Amino acid sequence: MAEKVEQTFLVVTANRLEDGRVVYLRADRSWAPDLDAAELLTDTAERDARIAWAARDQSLIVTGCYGFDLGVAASGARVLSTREQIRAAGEASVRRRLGLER
Amino acid sequence: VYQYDEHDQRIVEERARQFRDQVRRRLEGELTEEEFRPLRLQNGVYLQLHAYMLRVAIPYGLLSTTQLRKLAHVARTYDRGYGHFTTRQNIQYNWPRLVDVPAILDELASVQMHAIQTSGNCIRNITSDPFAGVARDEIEDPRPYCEILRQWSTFHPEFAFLPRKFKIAVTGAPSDRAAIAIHDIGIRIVRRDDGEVGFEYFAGGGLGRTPVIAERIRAFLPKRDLLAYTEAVLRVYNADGRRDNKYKARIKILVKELGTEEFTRRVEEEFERMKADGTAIVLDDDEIARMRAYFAPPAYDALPDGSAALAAAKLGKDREHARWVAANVVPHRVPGYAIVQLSTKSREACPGDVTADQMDAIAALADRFGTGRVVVTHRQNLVLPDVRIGDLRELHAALRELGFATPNLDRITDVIACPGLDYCDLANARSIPIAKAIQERFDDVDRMHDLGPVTLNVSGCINACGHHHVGNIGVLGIDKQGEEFYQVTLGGSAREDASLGKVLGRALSGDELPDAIARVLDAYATLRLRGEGEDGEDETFLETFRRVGTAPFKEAMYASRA
Repeated sequence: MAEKVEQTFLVVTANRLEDGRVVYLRADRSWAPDLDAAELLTDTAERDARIAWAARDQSLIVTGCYGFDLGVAASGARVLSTREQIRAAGEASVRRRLGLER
Repeated sequence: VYQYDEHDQRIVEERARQFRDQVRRRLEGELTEEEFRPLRLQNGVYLQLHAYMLRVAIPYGLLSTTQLRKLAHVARTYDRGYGHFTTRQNIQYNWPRLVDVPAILDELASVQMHAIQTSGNCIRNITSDPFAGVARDEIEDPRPYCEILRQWSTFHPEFAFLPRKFKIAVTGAPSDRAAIAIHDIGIRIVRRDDGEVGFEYFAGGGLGRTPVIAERIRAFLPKRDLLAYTEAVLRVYNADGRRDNKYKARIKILVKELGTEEFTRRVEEEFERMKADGTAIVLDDDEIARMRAYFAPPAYDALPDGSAALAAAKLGKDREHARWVAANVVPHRVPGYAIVQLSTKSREACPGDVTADQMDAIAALADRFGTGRVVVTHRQNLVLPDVRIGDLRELHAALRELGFATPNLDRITDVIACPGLDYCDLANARSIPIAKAIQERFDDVDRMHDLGPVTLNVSGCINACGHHHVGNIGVLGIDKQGEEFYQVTLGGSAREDASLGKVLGRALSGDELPDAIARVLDAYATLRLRGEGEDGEDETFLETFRRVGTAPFKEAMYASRA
């Protein structure tokens, strides 16, 4: 069972156009492959504005931009949906997580 | 194997060239994502969770070793060193960069392969019996007809924008290894009492959120009418299929809503109209003969029968070899030869995944022990169709070394699994870890073989790429408030006795599932009738389920949860 969420942030994510890799929007409006570098928003209007900006001005850099919730538990642990946990694991794909060959 | 002529070759080369320019225009801003998306999908390029995914067509699952080596080269050069064979006999690469896809398409074109019509609302890859051409019970090789349908349907202007995707499967034998009942069109080659060979024709099958077993709409279709009749079916679907709701747009919904009788009447009416006005395509004997020549049997050696040797091998003292022969080797129609199935469902691999090095090694084995052909099965395994019985022991040793000799074909650990939430943007839950957990739970060869044939299929969402509805045991991943759960169905079959599984009850967590399935199989082991099959075999899991129903299995599944 996931830990109880104490606070919820909003994160903006997309896939990089050139290679499809998962990226997260940083506070300086650049894109990072690491979720730890993502800007943590608290306002849905701000989130929507960033998604609109990405669709308008970043279409040669990213595609499929959307926002998701990132919960923080009392312990400080991140609470994410399974989907976002898997996206954040990135290239450490299932084969490596299962201890398979790659 | 069909060989491209100069026109075929030019088309696939031009297609790669066109896509290179489309990618350039997208990257330079000349095309928006909305404009580019249908173009990439028409070339089999999806955007998944972590990366792009490229789906490459393998018509009727048949690969030459040259093609398999090229697939290995693509995996090694442009991807992460492996490919994933799918339930539609295709291969998917999970990590290509968009900028590399045009080069991959060039590579594929050089060995007469492509990714055309592997996505979109068009007629997809035509699938078939993986034992086509070598099966003992085959009436006629279905691959020439698959190829005729492939050529007819590729770039067919009338059917490029159907209400939804459209899948056709053809089998040449009464024993259905091509799962024709779950296809939009399923075609079975049959011989009539007067000796004429033609087609038994089914339509309206499919899985997904509304699973339906196809209905027979023609008991016998003469060969000459194959294309005209198929065109009539597609015309009725194209005209009358729903376009207002994608979940109700497949032909199965049209057949259900109209009723089989009315649907068939409309098809027959269109067919008669085409014949009357002279627009019906006639598939003449010369064209069939021309296509059959591409699939002529290889030059087999005259060998002693070998049936006794095969039977003896199954009972031999080398239990590992005996089990492998019993589970993975199938009698061939030519004396002295056998069909060998390579299981991708080992401890070390994800179902359907094969590394580049393994592909090269399998190609070498197919050249050495076979006739340079490898076939992909809809159960995500591979087949070497022409192996001398005398070579089986040596081949087994080589496959064991390579990790493809797990003796589990059609057994509980031969799990079909879609890529699931580990890769797929549509999935609700992971499939691969569930498949691995079930394989680990039944990692006892004696128990696995005692349980006999039982298929287990896992899908990560209701789209059912893992064919869970037709697994003897089906597992469907669902999302409950961001957490993964799994719903179990029992009693499905994709064979000639096709049926849809029945939901057993409340969904379970991934941790609960392997033990719950073990309890279901323990119940089967208790309930089955021993030695009462035709040849003294035990009653199979499916037979027992059909005899006793869901109740005892439901009780077993939920019994020890406290």
